[in-house]
Amino acid sequence: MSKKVLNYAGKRPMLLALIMATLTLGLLFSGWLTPTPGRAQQVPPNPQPNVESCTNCISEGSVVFEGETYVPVVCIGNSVTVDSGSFLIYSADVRVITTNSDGSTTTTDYAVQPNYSMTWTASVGSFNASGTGDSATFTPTNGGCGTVIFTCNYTNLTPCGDIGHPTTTSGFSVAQMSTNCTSGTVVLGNSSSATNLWYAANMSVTLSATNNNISNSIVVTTHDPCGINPDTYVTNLVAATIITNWWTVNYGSFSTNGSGLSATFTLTNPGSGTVTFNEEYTQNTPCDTNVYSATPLSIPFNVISVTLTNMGFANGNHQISKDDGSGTYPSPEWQLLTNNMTTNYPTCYTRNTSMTVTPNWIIIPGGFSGPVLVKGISSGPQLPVVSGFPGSVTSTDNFKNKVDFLNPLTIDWQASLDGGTNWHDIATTANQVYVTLNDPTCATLYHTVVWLACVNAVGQTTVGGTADAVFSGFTGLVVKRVSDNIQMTYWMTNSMGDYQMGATETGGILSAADANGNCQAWSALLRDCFRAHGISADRIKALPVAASDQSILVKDWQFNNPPSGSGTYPYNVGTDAFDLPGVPGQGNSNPPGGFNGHWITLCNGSYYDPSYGTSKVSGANKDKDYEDGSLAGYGESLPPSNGTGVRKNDTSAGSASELHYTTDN
Amino acid sequence: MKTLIILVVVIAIVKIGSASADDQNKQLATTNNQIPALTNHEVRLKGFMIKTKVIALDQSVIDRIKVANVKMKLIRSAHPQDNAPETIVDAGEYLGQHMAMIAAPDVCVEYDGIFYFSGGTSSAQDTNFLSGFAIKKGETIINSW
Repeated sequence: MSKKVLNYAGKRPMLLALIMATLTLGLLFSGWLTPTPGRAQQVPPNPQPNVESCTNCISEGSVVFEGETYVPVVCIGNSVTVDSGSFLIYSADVRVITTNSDGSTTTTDYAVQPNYSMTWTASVGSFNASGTGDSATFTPTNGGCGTVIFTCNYTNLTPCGDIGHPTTTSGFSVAQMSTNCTSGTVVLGNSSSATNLWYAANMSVTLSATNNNISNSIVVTTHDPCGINPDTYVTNLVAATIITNWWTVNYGSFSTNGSGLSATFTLTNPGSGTVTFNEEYTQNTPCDTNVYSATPLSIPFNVISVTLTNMGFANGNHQISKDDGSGTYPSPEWQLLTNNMTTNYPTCYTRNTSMTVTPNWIIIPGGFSGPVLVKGISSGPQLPVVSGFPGSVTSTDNFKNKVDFLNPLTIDWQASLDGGTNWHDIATTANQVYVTLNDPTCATLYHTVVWLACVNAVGQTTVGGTADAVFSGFTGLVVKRVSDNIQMTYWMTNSMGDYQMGATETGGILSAADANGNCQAWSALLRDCFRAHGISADRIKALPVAASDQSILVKDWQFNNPPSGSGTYPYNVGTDAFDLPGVPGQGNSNPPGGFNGHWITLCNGSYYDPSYGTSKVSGANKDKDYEDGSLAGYGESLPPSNGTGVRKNDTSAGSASELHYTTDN
Repeated sequence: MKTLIILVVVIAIVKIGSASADDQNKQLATTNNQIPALTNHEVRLKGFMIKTKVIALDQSVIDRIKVANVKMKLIRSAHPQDNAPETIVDAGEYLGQHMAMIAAPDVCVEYDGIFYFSGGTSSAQDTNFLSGFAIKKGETIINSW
């Protein structure tokens, strides 16, 4: 009988133990190991007294290797354990034949396991090692593909007697390692947060560099001499050692330098320059240790200054003329002068239209073109954010759809060098902007005209509402010029007390040194204010219809009855007709009492009398209504001086108009 | 005898002028020691300018007009639709139709194709062409000084 023993010791000891435990328990419960009658035991039976016995070796035991295929790989200097692999032990079979006293015989068989022991010898290259056991552990000092020869020496016990020396050979590999260095480099990288910097007085500038790829590349190759495993490569990066680094700055005529990879310096003017970083380093073993210079890193930078030199209005704006008659306000309407002084000229747009502005810039350094975002924060129509410094920007929305006066319209100009995260102030423009109801139709859009037209009509959206609102600026009898804030007057007296006619047209009263004008000037001024809104308006001349009426008598006059005279002009001036202070005029509490005629303004079907600021007169009967409201009578001469005859205005119901109204622009 | 008669006529003209002129002529004579010759006995303006005197042109008037010309400025632009005055009477009427006044000019004269009206720009009388109006013959422009 033989028994197999799988010996995996040194190979998978835990697995073997588990297998053996399982087999043992199985055998115990199966009863296979329970001595069975007629079955030889390993211990020979005791012979019976007076009994002869004979013991014979039926078959020799032996040990047989099955061989090992697993080849461990280790590196030189590391311990390796090589196993013999599994082997089979065959027991010897022994038979005992006993002759009993009665002459019968009893045959008993049993197995006897041979004695055995293991030895091994390992060798790789010149390295040799030896030991006992079925697992060889040693530390090779040579690389290469080695072998371990396991030898089993067994001996069968009497009555058997064979001995054997079977061997098996296991392999192991002592890997060969090689190391190569691929020279690394140190590359300087720009780590500056920004290279376009917004200028400020005596600004401190910091630019910096950083080390990139500052490692050597060292490759370790592991080669299996037995060829069982493929070569493996491991790359290790070993940092280089920085010896020194420094920087230099060139900025126009300014230059400076310092150590390190962060350059901080102070600039007093905008411009452009370059900072150059330099660095020296060495590599480390196993690479060479020479001193290398990194490629210098030059970082150009700009210190940017932007000046808004002027800004005009365009595309639909209406140019305003100066009151003094010297022409229109120049464009660009906003200009930067020396010492941060500015000119701020007014302009005019029609309501519900867009606004276009035309800024001009001085950019230092001159070649700088961005990236930059520019925006103008407007108190009027909104302006878009644009890329680069625009020469023209049109608003994204319109002026309000009503009469307006933006006093002033401001635009805060700002620029961003970082895509809109941070904004830098450039300048704030401020201009008066008048917004009219419709496109102006007056021949000359004087500053005072558009001012009077808009300042009192803010919010108006209709012709009638605008006209009345504009006229409301005249009813207080205090109307001033924008240019010099001087109040304009109506037939003002001079130092001698003589009434002065003054100017007769809009431009005249706006430019005259004394700011004085007659009714022609005042009615033209109001007409032009209406026309500034594009409202149809005319100056109206009202002269007596009757050929004998040489003068009109403006209220108030006192007539005493009964008159001293007779005929058409029964009242005698100075006797029973007297000019009273009466209705005040513009800037004049007591204008003259008699004229050859009067000029007023017709707009939207109504008469407006700006000379006196009296209420407008409307309706089909407005001619007569106007006369009855304004005139006291008529005279036979001009002036209606003492001794001349005058008559009262006929205000009776159904009386006819006595003035002839004609357009006189 | 013939010379005497001429002298008498001249004196008579001067006396007539002096007698028919009012205070402004007295002022003019006092100021300039010169009295303009009056011709309104031949030409009379219309309307409220009926008392405006048309004077004869002499060197003193010319001198004043030259001074006025320096100060001359446009106060009414051309109106082609209007009838342009060809005579001083028409000019006076045109002036009265297109200027709001509180008094008529005091004197007027034609010189070098232009009608000059002295006064009318204030309540003060003015026969010295210190201020007034000017209308070029055949044109509708009114100037003032």
